[in-house]
Amino acid sequence: MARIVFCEDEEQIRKLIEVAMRSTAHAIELTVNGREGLEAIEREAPELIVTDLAMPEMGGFALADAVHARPALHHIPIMFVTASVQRGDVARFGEHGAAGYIAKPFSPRALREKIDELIAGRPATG
Amino acid sequence: MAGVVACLAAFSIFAAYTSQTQVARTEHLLLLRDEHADVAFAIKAEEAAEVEYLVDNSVENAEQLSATTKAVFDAIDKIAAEDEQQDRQLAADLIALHTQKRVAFEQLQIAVAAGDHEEARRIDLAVVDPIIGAIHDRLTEATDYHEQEAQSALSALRSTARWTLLLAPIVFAIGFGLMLLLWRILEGYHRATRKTYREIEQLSKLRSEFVSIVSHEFRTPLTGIQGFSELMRDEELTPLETREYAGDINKDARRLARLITDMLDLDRMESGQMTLNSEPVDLNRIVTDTAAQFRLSAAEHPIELELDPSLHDLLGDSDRLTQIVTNLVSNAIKYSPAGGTIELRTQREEGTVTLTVTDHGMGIPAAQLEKIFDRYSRVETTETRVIQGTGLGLPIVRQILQLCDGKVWATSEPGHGSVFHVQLPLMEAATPAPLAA
Repeated sequence: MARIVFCEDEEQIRKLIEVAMRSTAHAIELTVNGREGLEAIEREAPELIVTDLAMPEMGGFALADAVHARPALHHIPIMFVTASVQRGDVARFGEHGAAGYIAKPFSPRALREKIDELIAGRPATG
Repeated sequence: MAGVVACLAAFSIFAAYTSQTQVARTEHLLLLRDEHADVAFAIKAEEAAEVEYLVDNSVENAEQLSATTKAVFDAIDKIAAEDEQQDRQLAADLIALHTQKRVAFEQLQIAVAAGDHEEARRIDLAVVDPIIGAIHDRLTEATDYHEQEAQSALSALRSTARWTLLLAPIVFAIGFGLMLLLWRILEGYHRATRKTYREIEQLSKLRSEFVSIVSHEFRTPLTGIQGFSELMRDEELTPLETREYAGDINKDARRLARLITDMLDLDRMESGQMTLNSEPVDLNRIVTDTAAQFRLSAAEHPIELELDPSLHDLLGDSDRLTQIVTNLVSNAIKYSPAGGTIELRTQREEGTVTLTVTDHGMGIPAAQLEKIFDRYSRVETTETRVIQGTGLGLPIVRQILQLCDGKVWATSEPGHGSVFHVQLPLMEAATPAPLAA
């Protein structure tokens, strides 16, 4: 069982995540942008962060940079959820310290598997 | 311009050719004068040798005389070799006179040999002197003639030089001006090419951004469709959950359909393949209905209406007018913070109907007020980068208004909000006569 903070501005996708994670033992917190996500992360100190990239107020990259800038939080792995998986984007994920990423559209099963891999400490890419 | 260049080239060639001819002629005349002087000098030398020979007819003096005579013939031959008729005539006259002189000299020689000094003096004065005088006169006459010719050639050369000097600055100025003009034209072409290149580059960048945005917009509803359908397939769900997820799939499918319709609509409008209906429509009702829908889907934005009651039914396309109002309100909501009021106002004016949509959002920089209606163009700032949208809404509004002779424009105070103005031509549907009270 792990605590996971999700940041996603699209209501439909938040709902899909919530339903997909219902069958797991993980405790999840859903937030609507990077700013709210950061507050939740500081409060919860989760085992994993899963964040969208393009969001109002604070995007995924800014959130990752903010998390890595905080010594108390910088060990938490971050997974990006992205609509764009071109070569340049994948390189940028690394620059912002991504532990893994998943591309939209994704299946609930793939999301759960990637989350489990990251929590178990195994490398997760693609 | 080609004509001017040809004239300049012709003038330069003419001036160079004329000067060259005149110089050559003058040089030739100077040469002729020298040739005449050579003849005069040779005759004088021959005369001196004749006197020597008369005094002492030794072998050396005879040879000397023979050499000077040969020199006379050589000098005359040079004149005879000239091209002009008058020079050849001069040579012939000189030969004839010289022959006479030779005959007179022989008579003189006989008289001297006979010791008849009286006769010798007579021949010298009466025959030889006049012949020598005639030779000198003939040479002087030819030299004078050539002198005159040389003077006139020199005068022509002076005149050419004067004209060339006078015209040279003008020719230079025109030539310089033409070069400057040519340079400007070439630079203009170069600038135009660079501008076109930059525009193509910009367009390509916008196109690739557009593809990226559209791809994002497609992937979001596709995630819902794929995810919820997979849950329905793989998991044990209650009938209520199944119904709910089917509703989610349906919502995402409709969102995708709307996106595709928008893209196709814009393409059809831009290529002139879309025609609008003309039916009686109530703009105030369209505004009221659209506002009601947004109050449901975007409750965090209060929507205020100020509708002109004197607005009767218009002739227009109800679906497209709804699309205009929907896109403008959706745009206003997207770029406003939660709680930001959206104001919708209709007004009937002289020959037109106006609709304004006012928001209190981030506003639009002045330089972008026109561009926001271009396809693929969204104002890119840190704030807008995180706002979702295909950038198709405003271009669609403009295309619809172009089709019905209306117009749309925006005014804005960055940081305080924007106002979108729509102006439609007032084409009222025939309204039923008011009922008698």
